[in-house]
Amino acid sequence: MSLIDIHGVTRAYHLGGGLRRRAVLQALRGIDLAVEEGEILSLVGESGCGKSTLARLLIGIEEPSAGTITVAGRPISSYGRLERARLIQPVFQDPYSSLNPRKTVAAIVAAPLDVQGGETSRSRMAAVHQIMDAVGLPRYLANAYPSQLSGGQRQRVAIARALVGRPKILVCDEPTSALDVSVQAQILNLLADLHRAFKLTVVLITHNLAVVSHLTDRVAVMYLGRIVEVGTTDGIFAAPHHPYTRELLRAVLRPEPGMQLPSLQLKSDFPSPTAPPPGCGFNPRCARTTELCRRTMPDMSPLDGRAVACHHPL
Amino acid sequence: MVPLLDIRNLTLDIPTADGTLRPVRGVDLAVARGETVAIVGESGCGKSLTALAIMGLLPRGARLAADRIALSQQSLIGLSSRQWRSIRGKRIAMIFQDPMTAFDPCYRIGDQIAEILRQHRPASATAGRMAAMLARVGIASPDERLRQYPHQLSGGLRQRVMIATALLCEPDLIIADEPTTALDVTIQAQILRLLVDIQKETGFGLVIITHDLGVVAGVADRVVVMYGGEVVETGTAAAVIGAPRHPYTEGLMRSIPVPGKVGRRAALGFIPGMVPRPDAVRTGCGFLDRCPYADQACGVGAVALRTAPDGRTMRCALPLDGSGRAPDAWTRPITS
Repeated sequence: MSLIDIHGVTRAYHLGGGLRRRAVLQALRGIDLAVEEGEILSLVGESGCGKSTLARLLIGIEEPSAGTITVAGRPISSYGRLERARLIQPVFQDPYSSLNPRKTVAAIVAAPLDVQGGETSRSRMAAVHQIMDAVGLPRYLANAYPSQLSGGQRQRVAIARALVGRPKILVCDEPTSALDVSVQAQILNLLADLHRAFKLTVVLITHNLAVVSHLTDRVAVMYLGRIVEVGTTDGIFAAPHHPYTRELLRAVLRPEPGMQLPSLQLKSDFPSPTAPPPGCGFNPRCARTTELCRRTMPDMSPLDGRAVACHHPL
Repeated sequence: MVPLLDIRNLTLDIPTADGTLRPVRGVDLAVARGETVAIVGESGCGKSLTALAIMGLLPRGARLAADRIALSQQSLIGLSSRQWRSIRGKRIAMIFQDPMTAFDPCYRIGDQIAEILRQHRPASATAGRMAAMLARVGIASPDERLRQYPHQLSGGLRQRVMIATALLCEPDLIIADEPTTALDVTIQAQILRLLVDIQKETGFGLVIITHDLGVVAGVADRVVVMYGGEVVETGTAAAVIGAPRHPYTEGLMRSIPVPGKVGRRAALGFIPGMVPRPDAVRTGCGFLDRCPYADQACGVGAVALRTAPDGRTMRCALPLDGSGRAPDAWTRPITS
């Protein structure tokens, strides 16, 4: 059994708005996904594809409109708030806005312990120091405020806060996008080390395919609220089956001499998430679209040990 | 040949309560017509301030000193704000990073573009001309877009509108500050391709400011690497990316994960420590504290930019030979 099982999950947002109509935004339109214990799985896709919504459902700050998410054998809705926090913790993108500027590093890192209760002040401080060591934060920073830290240090604080209660699952939403590349490298190294040391299961949301390839075992590619391809990172990077995955990979600019800009086979007809096209969500931008794609939404079907939702896979 | 843009020894001083900061220190930059030069560096290296100095858009209180800042031989030093207005938008145009904040949310796209044309070419401020330019940058139904407000456009579309706006007066030079950083990767590739294609037609000089060495490899003819307010390395993009000669450039290259190049979850290189404070006074090499190759000589006196026989320049007393002399140097743990 998988550690996380996502089955038939949808999530709709009712957009308040004009007097004329109330639009409904279908952020997730039927997601099936399993995350195995101990793996690092990444969710990739462009802005608006629903990857962050899926992350919010996983950490339980929102509930699916339909479908179920099972974690460690139980529906996530059956967990109490504290129980869930012991199991799953988030790391957000922007370490400038995700830390309370009026609290010290020690107070921020210890907050999950305080919420859970049951710690003496000595065991609490020991836990804080231990996790600060593990994430590479010097102990003298325990009494510093976020404004006194660099971006990389702040992200280490956010990771320390997530890990201090020893969760099994870490959900990281673009954890390095706000950082400089040399700092990003340190955080990626840290995530790799912590994954090993704490036997973590990590769901990583990112748009950076170089990060995906470096860090993750499996990839789920999302487009317009659906997963269009899932498989091992190596398999997908070697031979993508979905046309969208292929264009996404071709768009990566590799820092290598003589690299040419790719000419993508993508139309610029962006489908609207409030009025998704009938059939395949990718059909307005796809170079391989046929009548079938405009009529019928493709189901996920197995191909090469992967799952692909495309009528005309590569 | 006379370069289109010629900057020599540009220095910026910003007085603060804690003393004077010097975020840009003696920068030289030359851009030829039709050439793309990338300025690369991380937050705080002075790359954006250099761009703002070229545009005459420095923050209040900043003091500029330079031996020369010239666009096609015309000096841009000490211009009045009226003179600047006749240059900005017409001869030098700028493309900003965030197309959401670069437009005024209260005005229609068409009105905002027309404002530029009214300033420089009143007779041509017609909807037809604007629509033609939007069509040129790949925007479908341009007439409809001109009537819309910025929030009604996606990020990629807004960036296309910004490029169209920049191109309207056929500028000699375009400065693009992280033009694709806020965009999705597929959109990034398409926007860069658009810029390069139009540059081939019209021949503007392009300065692209970025932290992404992939963007540099994709579009730049030459690259200028900045660190701590100084130019630390220059050369053709292929040469610098292929074999960095300044330790900072090498450190940057080693910290980027490249699909298929480093093993999964193998340690990436990183640059230990932090960017130096931009104090006006600095002894020795600016990269000294973070350099794995530094020796005693590096702490004495300022390091000059030296030129190699192949025309590349580097500000390093012990430049690398390009063969990756110590591959482990960048994964040593931080000792501080």
